[in-house]
Amino acid sequence: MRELREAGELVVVGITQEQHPDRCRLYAQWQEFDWPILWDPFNLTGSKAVPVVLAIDEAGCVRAIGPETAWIYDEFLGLEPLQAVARSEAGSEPANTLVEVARHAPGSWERDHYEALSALVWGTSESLDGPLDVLARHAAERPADAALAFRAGVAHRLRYDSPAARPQDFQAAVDHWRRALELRPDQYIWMRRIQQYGPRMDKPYPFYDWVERARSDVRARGETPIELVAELTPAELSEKSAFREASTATEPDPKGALERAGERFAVESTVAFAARGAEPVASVHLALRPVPGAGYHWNNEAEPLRVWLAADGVRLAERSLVHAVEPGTTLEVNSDETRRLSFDAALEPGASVGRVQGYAVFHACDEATGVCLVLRKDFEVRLER
Amino acid sequence: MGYPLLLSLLSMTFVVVTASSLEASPDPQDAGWSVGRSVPDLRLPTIDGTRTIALSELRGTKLLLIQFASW
Repeated sequence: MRELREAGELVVVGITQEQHPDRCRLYAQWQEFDWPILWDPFNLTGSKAVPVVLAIDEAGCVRAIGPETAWIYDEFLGLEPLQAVARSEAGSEPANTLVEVARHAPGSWERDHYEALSALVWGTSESLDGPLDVLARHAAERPADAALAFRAGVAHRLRYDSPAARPQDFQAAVDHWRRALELRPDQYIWMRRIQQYGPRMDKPYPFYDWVERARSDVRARGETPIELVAELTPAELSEKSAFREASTATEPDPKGALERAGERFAVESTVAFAARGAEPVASVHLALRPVPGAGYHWNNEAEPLRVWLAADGVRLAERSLVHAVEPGTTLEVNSDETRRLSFDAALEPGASVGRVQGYAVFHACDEATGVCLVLRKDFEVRLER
Repeated sequence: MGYPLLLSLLSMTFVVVTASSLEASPDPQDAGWSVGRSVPDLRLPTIDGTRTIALSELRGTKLLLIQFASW
């Protein structure tokens, strides 16, 4: 196929249907793809499933979907275009907006919608907040429109991965995606977005287990792997997990003696129930971070951060004691990054509501005084389906 | 029609491709991507954000458009 491209007889272009373009960049670097790949996080193509290859003639008409290689050589290259070829004039397309914008009258909600989408896709807005607010409002005003719900979810997750992240952006993304899938249960692209962050047992196969191998192979070639904007969470990596009945871990602060972190550190939780199946299983994501301006940072000279989990009406698939940073991980002495961990949880049979209560135990330092201490941050996660 | 071409183009990890292929039959007809019809015009950024491509710009040459995801 390369010889056809080099001879100018064929153009190959990819479109990736995923939230994070950097992950696709790493994949393309690993596989040494040398054709351009476009990013369609909002599923503007409307594709319902991937992968799929379309053979398109010179006039822009689809001639085959999922063609075999032999058909490309034997028939496709010799086909006459179905219509007269109308090549667009250079510069006739909007340079930094979606074509859809021009199709709707100024002042219409559709125009506002595509302008907001343009700002997010093209990064033309200084802030994500305004475009996101427009998409969220449209999704709320038109609750039967599945695509609007999906796009609002994508926008929330975009902001969650940005420095402008707001509390509950991740949960809002998951909730919007769930709403979209309820309306269009056959939309596999949308389902994948939920499954990416959902419980491991809901994944039909490992989604991003290739990442570490890709990084290793790329380094072995003497190249630097593309850096990921949002590092993978455990929920995105492993395929299956089994629910266990009891914990053998030792609770780190059973008497509640440790000093509480209070407003110095924050915990945010996101619950993502399985996209399919009747069993009420969810992946719970926790994000822990020093509160900006509170004057504290992680102290990494001592034991790593540990999280104790206690279930009420819920079965936990993981250890009751989990580490946000695995032992042996090398960190700077002091840091202030957001630490993320996830675990799977299932409501007890017949239950519609359950709780996971827990707390994080960690070492932290006061930036003003230099005093370091052990702190405990309590949290509660409500699972309701 | 089938997936051999896709496999040769993507050289993907077989787990990724075959698993998602089996999950659902690609059915782009609903989105207007059907045989004999013109593709919707879209202008999208490349994954590195350095440029954009409109599908209409590609007219005049035969095109293989691969829709996929790395998950």
